[in-house]
Amino acid sequence: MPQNRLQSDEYSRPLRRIGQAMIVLFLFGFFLIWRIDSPRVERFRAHVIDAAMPSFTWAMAPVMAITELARDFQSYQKLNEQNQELRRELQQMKAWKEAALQLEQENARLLDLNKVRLDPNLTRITGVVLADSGSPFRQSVLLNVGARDGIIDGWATMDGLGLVGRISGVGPDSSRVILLTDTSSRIPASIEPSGQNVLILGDNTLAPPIDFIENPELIRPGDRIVSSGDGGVFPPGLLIGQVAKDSGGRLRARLAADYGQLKFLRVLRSQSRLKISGSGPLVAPRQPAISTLETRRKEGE
Amino acid sequence: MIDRRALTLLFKQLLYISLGLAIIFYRLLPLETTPAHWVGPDILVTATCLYAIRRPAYVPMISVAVLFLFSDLMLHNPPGLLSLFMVLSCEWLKRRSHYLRVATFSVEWLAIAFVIAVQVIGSHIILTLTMATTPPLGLTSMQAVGTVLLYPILSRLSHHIFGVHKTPTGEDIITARYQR
Repeated sequence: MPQNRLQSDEYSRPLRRIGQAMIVLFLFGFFLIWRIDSPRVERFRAHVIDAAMPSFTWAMAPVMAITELARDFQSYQKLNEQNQELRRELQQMKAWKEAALQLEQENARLLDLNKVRLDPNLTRITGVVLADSGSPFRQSVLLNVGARDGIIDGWATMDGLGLVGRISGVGPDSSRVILLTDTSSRIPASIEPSGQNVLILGDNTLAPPIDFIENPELIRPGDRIVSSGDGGVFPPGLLIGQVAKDSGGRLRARLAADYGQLKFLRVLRSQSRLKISGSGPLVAPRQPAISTLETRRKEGE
Repeated sequence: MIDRRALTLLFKQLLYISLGLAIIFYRLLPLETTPAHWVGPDILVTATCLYAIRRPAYVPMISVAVLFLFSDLMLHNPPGLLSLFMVLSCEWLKRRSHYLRVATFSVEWLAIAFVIAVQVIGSHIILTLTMATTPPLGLTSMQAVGTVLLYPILSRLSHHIFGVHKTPTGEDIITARYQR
């Protein structure tokens, strides 16, 4: 019997070696393909997540509930303190609510006077946050709406108040939102009273720095930051947050969206945005000469 | 006739995979959507290294590869990179598991630390060479240190609670196959 096993080992060992080498080559090849043709692999990843998430979600609710219960239990000691604070805040909120109601009425009157019709392109889909990125180095969340609901890569995502991120990676039933805090996030924005165009660069902190400022003297902490719509990345005028200065004197964006509690997100449908058909137009500027030539040719026909 | 030992082996291999899936599942829960200032250890890496040393037969290369490729895809990491490093380091550990079996615990721990250091530095180099975005080195090294520090805790835990002892040479035929 032992001899038998020895013999079978002699045959199986080279086979196992070949199998191991193939696994190693496959993994390395997979990584290389990801580097060479990233969109294709990312699409594959979206499909894998889409297929795997439903089998996870049924267990998610109870585990989430238990974990949050445990966390809440820790915060019982702070409860009284928190209660007082909330009462104070509520008092302030009532004042704000009154102001908001008056403003709303005034706004309605003005809109009526002007016969303004709101942009029908800016409709929205609301999705539930299924999962976070699971890795401390990436800041993204997974929504339960996908290509079946008409989601397209690049659409803006907001919570009730401010911009949260950008759709990147769409599966049939799920889509990934890259948050503004992710290291790969670059959002063109403008600072409200001075009208300066800047970029918000995600750097894995809660307050992403503001960069490419033309005239820093014109910007003061507390200024509003809204998306500028440059490059067709986002529709213009979405609230991002406020300018703040950190201890090093660098200007950062204090985000309006509550990143601690991302539960429901709105995806803004924005039609007629720049269509990304290949990698070329993303890198090089579009050449108007060719398009005018084409239209001329069409007119000639 | 089904060999009972083969059945146990299969069961334990499936147990490893389901343990890994449970860890990935827990990490995916949307509990923390703000960027963290500190990073916890990677339990999956530590558990796999522990398995590779203590019970090499339960972590065949294919299940390590599949599990880590899945985790790379789900957790939005560079696909295939961590899985490649884990597969290679598991094989390295398995090949030395019969030395480590008789060695003291500190030697075993040193081997783990070496393997994880190679993983972190190697993946950083490869990502830089292929011009991919690299995660901040401070956070990755913090995670690596955490992963190494977790090892004695996890091994003590598995020793006392799950009864995974260092098997003396030749006690178990399944593991004995790997000892030559």
